[in-house]
Amino acid sequence: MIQPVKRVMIISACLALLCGSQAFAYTYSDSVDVSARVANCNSNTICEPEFGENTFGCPVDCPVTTTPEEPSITPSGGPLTSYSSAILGIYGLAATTTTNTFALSWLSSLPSTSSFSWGLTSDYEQGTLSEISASYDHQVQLYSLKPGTVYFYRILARGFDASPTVRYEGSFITQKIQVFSPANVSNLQALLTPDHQLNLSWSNPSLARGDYVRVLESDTFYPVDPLNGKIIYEGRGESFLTEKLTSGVTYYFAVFVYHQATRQFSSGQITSVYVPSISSPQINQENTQVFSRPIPLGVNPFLIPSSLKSRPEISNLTNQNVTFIQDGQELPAISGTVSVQRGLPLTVRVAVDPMLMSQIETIIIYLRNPSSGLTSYVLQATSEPGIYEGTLSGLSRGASYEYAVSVYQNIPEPRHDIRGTLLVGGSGTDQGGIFSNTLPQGLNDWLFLIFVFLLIFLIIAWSHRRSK
Amino acid sequence: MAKRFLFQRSHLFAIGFGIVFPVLALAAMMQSSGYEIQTDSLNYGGVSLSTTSEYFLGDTLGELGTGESNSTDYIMGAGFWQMQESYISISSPSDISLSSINGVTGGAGTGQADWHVVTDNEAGYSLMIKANQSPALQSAGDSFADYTPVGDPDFTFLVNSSDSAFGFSPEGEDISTTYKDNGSICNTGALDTADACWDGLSTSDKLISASSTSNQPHGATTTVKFRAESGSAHIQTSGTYTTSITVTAVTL
Repeated sequence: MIQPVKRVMIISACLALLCGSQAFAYTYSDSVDVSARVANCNSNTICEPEFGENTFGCPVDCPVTTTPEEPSITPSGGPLTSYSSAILGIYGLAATTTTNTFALSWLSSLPSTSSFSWGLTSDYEQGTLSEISASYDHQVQLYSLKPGTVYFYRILARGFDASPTVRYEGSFITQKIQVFSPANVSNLQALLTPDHQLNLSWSNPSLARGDYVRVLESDTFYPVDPLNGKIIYEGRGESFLTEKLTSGVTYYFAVFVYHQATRQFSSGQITSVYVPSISSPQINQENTQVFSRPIPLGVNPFLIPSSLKSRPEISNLTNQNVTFIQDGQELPAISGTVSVQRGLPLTVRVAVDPMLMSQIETIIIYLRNPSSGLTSYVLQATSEPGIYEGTLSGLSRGASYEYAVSVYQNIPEPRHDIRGTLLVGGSGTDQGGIFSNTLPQGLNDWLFLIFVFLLIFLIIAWSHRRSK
Repeated sequence: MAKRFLFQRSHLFAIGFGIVFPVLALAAMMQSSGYEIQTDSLNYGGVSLSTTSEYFLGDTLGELGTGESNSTDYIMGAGFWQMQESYISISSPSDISLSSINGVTGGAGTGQADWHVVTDNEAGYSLMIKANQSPALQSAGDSFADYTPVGDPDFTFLVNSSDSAFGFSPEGEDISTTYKDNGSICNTGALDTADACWDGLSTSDKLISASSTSNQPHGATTTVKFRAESGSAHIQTSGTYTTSITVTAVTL
């Protein structure tokens, strides 16, 4: 039992303790933003959008001239990843590109109106798009761009107050046009020996392990696919001597390259040879004769037009349906003439209504040059509906070539020819190719150099002799 | 009469005890194993704590020599309520950008921030950390999983090759024993091995540092390291991942 005195003492003591132990818990907090940038890139020089690689996150594989997320000019507040909400900044850029479109979105740290300018140079000469209302979110889309082309762009963001305009510069590259057909052989020639054997020779493209060449023969028409005709050669060589051929017969040959990596054959380079009588004075006079030029009249579209008219859907095909592609870019046709670079593979693409494919027997492109004669390639249907393709190996030297894209409704007729001109020139590595033996319309480079050296030598010799 | 006198004398004694006791306490601060009385007061009235929904009020009557005085180096607040002011501050580091992560081949991004806490609170402080969302590190279409140690924090940051994760590791003189180690295991020992003892964030506070004494004027720094890692067989969607980290300092 607690005595009264003790009870009062306890109360007083507790009062004192309570008064003395008055306490508040003080709390202060601080928040920071943590950000991590994930850039998908395996640096294998192959742009792989399926892994999320793009021109912004993976410039090594998907090249750009500058990295857009590294702005050339930033607000005074520092890098964009650490912007202050009191300073106008641009961040969070995300872009997608196709062969002919570009979409870009970005955020601003303050409401702003932006203008977007773009062009093929840093002058941004192709246009400007401007926002009319301020926002944090911004986006722009461009259409009808050129494939495989570097574009430059600039964003100018303006806030409400007198803070400086923020400028952001970058570039992007549109995706290259995907080519389906692997490269063909080049320089296909046929030389008939005196005993009526045919020496077929060609130049292989770069062959990987498992790649090989298949040569087919037919006496009715060109073998238009790797299973059409009689296989007379398979291997990695660059020539083949046929058995003795029959006089008075036209032989048709096609050379296909099998690419192990894609398990695809090239579209096929073709040629034909008419074997004359054994007593032909030409054969007697010359040991060999090149008969691949000109090919038999009945097949040459430049000499013999189709006597039968194709159905309207085929005869309506024009150069609008024909595309020439080099280095992932579509080559423009100006007044019916397409300028191509020498030394680079040239892909010929014909696009038709997929419903029309069942009406087309085959498509062949014939190239004619006054000094080289005819060179011909089959175009094959690709996995893309309505798309026929063939890839010609490097063009070697500047010259003008007529082409005829012959769309065969049936073999050999009716067919519809689409005509035009290829102008080979410009830069590129001269690696030999279908026109390498046809060149000199004028002087080639080596002859020109020899001429210059000879001229210098003569001048020096003349000067030396005169001084004596 | 004698009994009444005795009662009054007892009252006086008790009241005197109650008055004198705090004076003695001022001279020698009283404490037990569990509590510490930092200050007390000699006064004759007042209410220690009055509250409304918005305000707290503490008042005393009869104190002498109260008010603020100062010198070049010190500011003194004399009086019971002056001494009840406890101070705590926390620094505000810059936002953190982790180093870039390769989402295809895998890789790690790291970054860190220092929080400096100064308090004159004799009972010390505690420092806690939390994220604003779960999982903490997110982009518009993907996220890093919050790092999940097995029991105690992991001494080494480990992510399966087919996963990705985001975690933190505190370092500093006051870090919680949870994040101390013996050189190979966390939550044991007294070491503070660099880049060791990794844990995952959540939307609830996790204690990372604490002290039971005042640390003014120098304070104490807690460094929190952050790490986001994507495994070599994991495809992390490209983009910018963000989270907001809140660190809270509380006086005890």
